[in-house]
Amino acid sequence: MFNPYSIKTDPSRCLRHRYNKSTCSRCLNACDQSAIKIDHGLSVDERSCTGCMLCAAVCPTEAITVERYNLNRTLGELLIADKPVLACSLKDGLMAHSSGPCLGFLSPEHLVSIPVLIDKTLQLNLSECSDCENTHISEFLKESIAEMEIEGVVLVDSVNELDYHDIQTGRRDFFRMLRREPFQAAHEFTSSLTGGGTRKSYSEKSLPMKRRLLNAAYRAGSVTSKKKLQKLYSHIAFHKDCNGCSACTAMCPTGALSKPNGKLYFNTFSCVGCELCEEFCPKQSIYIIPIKEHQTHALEVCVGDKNDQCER
Amino acid sequence: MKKQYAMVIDLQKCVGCGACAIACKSENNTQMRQDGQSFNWADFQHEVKGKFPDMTHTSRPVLCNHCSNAPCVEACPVTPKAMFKTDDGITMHNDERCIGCRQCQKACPYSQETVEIGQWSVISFNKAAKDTHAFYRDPSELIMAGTASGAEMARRTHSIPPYRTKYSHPEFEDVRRSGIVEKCIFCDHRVKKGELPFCVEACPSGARVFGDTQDSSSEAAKLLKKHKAEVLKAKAGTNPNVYYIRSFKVKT
Repeated sequence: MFNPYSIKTDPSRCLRHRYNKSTCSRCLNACDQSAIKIDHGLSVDERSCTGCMLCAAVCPTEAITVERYNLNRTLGELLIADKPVLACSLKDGLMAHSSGPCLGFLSPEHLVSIPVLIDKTLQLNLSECSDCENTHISEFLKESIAEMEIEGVVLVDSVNELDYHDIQTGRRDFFRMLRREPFQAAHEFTSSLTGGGTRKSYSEKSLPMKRRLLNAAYRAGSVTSKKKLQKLYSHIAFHKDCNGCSACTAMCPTGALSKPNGKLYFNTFSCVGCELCEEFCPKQSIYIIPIKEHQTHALEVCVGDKNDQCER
Repeated sequence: MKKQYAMVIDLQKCVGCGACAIACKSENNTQMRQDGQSFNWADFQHEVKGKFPDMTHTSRPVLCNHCSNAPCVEACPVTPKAMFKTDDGITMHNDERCIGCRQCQKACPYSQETVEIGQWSVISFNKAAKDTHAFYRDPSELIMAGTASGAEMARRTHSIPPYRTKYSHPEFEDVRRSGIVEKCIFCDHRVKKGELPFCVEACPSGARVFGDTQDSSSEAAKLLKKHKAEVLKAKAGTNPNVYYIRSFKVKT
């Protein structure tokens, strides 16, 4: 089986590499082939990896991502369909408007955001999954959907239940496509040659693609969908022991914590909830709390304050 | 046998002229003192003791001690460590892996998180989210219509800072970016080419001797054998590799 999508790793984003005492083992637990090695750099054993991409789905900071896959392209393809269907490209002849890597890459963030962004119900074509070695991903998708109470995604197990209509392509669209496709392909090819951009340094802050997707969905979504999306956001509080050393701002992989002018700031939109700050804080004075309201909080560090948390 | 680079400083030869400090600043393009950080990889410890006329004044050149048992390496949280020991016994810092959490600065007995006047610090921190070498990016003149601005100097010399010495090394950059720490690396970019650290090269009185202490024929090893050497804060148990010999207090 030819799988054009491989796994790309970036140790600078990996929680275990940023902090040597981190106990994060999300990818290790997700991989039932034990193909991921984190002892000497972050690597995936290509011989035992089956390409289910669950590791990419569970990694909060995108230390593991799907190489040569363009999610924006998928979104564009789903947007023009009336009843969009997404499938993997690992099996031939699957009916879909867009195909990509094994659908295991769909994290809860993806599953919540995509239906909001395309404003339609998304069907996932899982009709061939029962024969595939990655059959366990359908269970993972079901769990994510149940846990997040997602309504905009339908898992379709058999071809008969699939509501698929091919997009009618006119003459104009055909020529437009002829012009667009080579450029798109050339762009994807060249970016794959350069490794999809330069390697990040550890101190660089970057927001994962799936979080950007979630933020876009949050801004576009209705009040009811906002409430659902909120579950994926986190908020932090400081214990009174905090001395404002700001080491957490350096440890944070996304830049959610910052100290621009002597005060600690926390940005919920940038926080991926990886809990690395909580683990790392030398004073053990950061903790993650459930989200109350959604806004950029300016948190003043309260030293000697009677309240054990402050949100100002 | 593994190398162990060390520096032996002869305090009776040192006149405290500061040539080493200036040489270091120009070689390693370090910043000016700002934000509570000294950025002096080679610095001085001045000590005035007693009451006139019964008093002593000591000037001691200080730099990273490249400790054999380095607490900064122990404290570094990233994998692989951004602060680590090389095979030559140099405490090396990798710019790419450093996240700027300043745990090394906290752990180092010779460093301060905030340097007051008169204090010194081995490790300095380039403040995050602020361009380094702010002076050479500032277009305002020191004296209005009287002097050039820092930004103008940088523009005329086509480099920031204007005194930039360009070099390349796999671990560290010649000019560091913001959000990471920096410290003396024994001029490894020079040592690798068979040259001496620039502070040693610049010292007019030959007070600084750099060499491999494991090689008994080296000048540094010979000096250590001949004289009783002292290290800074020996009680901290860090086993420094910067030695001071012939202090005026010690009879030789």
